[in-house]
Amino acid sequence: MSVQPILSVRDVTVRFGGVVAVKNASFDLMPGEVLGLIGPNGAGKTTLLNVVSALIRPQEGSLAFEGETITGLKPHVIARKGVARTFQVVQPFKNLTVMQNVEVGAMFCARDRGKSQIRALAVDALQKVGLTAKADALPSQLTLSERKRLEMARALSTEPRLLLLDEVMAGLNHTEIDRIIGLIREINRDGLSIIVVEHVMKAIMAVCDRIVVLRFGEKIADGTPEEVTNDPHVISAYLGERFVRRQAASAGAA
Amino acid sequence: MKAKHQLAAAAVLLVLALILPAVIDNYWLRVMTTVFMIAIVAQGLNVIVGFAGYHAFGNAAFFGVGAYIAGVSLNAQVPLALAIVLATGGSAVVAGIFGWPLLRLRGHYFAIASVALNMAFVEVILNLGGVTGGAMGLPLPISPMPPDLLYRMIYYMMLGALTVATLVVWHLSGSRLGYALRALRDSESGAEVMGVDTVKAKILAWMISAAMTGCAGGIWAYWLTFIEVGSAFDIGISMRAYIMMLLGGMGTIIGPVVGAFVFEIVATLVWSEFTHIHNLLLGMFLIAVVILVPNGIIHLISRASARLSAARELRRAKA
Ligand SMILES: Nc1ncnc2c1ncn2[C@@H]1O[C@H](COP(=O)(O)OP(=O)(O)OP(=O)(O)O)[C@@H](O)[C@H]1O
Ligand SMILES: [Mg+2]
Repeated sequence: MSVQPILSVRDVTVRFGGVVAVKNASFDLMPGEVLGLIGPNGAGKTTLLNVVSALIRPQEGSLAFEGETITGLKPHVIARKGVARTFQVVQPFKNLTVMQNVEVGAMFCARDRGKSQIRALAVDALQKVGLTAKADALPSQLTLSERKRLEMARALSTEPRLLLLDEVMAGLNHTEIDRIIGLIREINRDGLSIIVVEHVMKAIMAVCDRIVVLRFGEKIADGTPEEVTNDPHVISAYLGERFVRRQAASAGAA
Repeated sequence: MKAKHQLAAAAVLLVLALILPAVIDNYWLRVMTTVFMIAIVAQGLNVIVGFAGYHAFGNAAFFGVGAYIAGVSLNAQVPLALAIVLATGGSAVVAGIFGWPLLRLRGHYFAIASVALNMAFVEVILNLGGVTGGAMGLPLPISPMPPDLLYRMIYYMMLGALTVATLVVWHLSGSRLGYALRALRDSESGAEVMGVDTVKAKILAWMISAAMTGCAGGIWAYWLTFIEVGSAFDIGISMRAYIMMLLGGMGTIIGPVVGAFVFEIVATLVWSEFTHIHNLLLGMFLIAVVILVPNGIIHLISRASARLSAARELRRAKA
């Protein structure tokens, strides 16, 4: 227990009017770890990421990043401390070029940076995600896969130590998904801790060291991919519906 | 149009504007001074609307604030230059104070709040009475200069202020603040999680916007020598400036200036002939602008020149 978590989420509760989106959720993320955050639609995954990046202030609970309490800080302060994220619904700056989009992160997250260093960081991030050739394009000229990777490049340009990915593979084909899996592994090798929110189970199994399962805002499982996929709670709550449906479908086809 | 090209065009316009008073009569001198004045207001809108995407419909509030600060200062024997500096800085401070709460609001609430602010200022001036003259209006000291000289000086003051405003916009377009504003215009949350302090950026933008608008109002007060709330806080000032900014191209460097020129000249040449249907024509003009040049003249020029150079490439390729 000598290593301290890079992120601790403690007893976080978020309510939207009558809806409890996140209920008393707690988990830790260790440095260098890739954590999968899964759960059915509306389970509160995005809301939890919004809490970590401070876009939403939880009604209850606390957060610590690298041992320091960050509850109640502003989003830009959190970003400058080293927490970056992507959005499930991509949010490019549509009037800026791809390069300029990425430069924003480098420009505002690292103080005392000259123009050339900002450019170098942006070039680096674009190269990582394979968008170098599109540097001068506008976001509207990108495919969905490219837009998802632009989200990642924008996050990477802030030089984060913790990266939150919200469904960066949704809507992509197998080749594109494999490419992003490779990218996540590479980024993780560079030392980033990552939280991956994803419905694509194949990807979750491929990249995650550990998985947290949410259901109706509550954490119902927390463990290695094997533990979680064998957990009867999880099977009935989440995988269950799908397994049952898929099995019914294959039985019908047979 | 690239910033470089816009700046070159601006330099040519500036030289023309500098020699113009030598060749035009007093009527056109007044028209051109008005063009510069309203172009400054349009540039002010450009900063908060064009760059940040915050629709400050009530920006005329700072025109009035600037006018009254200059008026009260001049009546207190403050020298002209200092009075204009006070009008400029004072307007920025007022925007900073009100921006602090108002710019925490996102999007459209701000547009309405800015109009409410304009109305509130009118009430304040009316009820203050005393140094502001209240409902009676405020007479300013009359310059002992001969009119020909005086009006030329005011022409050059407006031109100078417009030049500075345009240089500020040019600098802004390549600066950190400019990036922050254009980023938050497209996605405020996106900008925040990338490290942009959006509230601070918006407040700074509104302060710059107010400074420009207040400066124009200050010089206008000196020019008119009599101000009252109806004309100083006329929401029509923001509305006209809005049309000019749209016409020229918002978020560009010289768009608002070009828009102001085209609009005022058209207005002067055409509408003065049809004063009884002025508003009808104004409305039709606005609709035509939105349909025909939705992105403004500057974007139109960029597109045309891009097409020209593409055609040239094609010809070269064929040859
Ligand atoms: N801004 C909001 N206002 C009101 N309710 C919200 C808001 N954001 C989320 N919710 C509700 O909170 C619950 C959790 O939503 P959230 O978006 O976090 O789910 P999710 O796990 O990300 O789902 P998905 O897999 O569909 O993305 C849902 O019931 C949702 O309708
Ligand atoms: Mg979600």
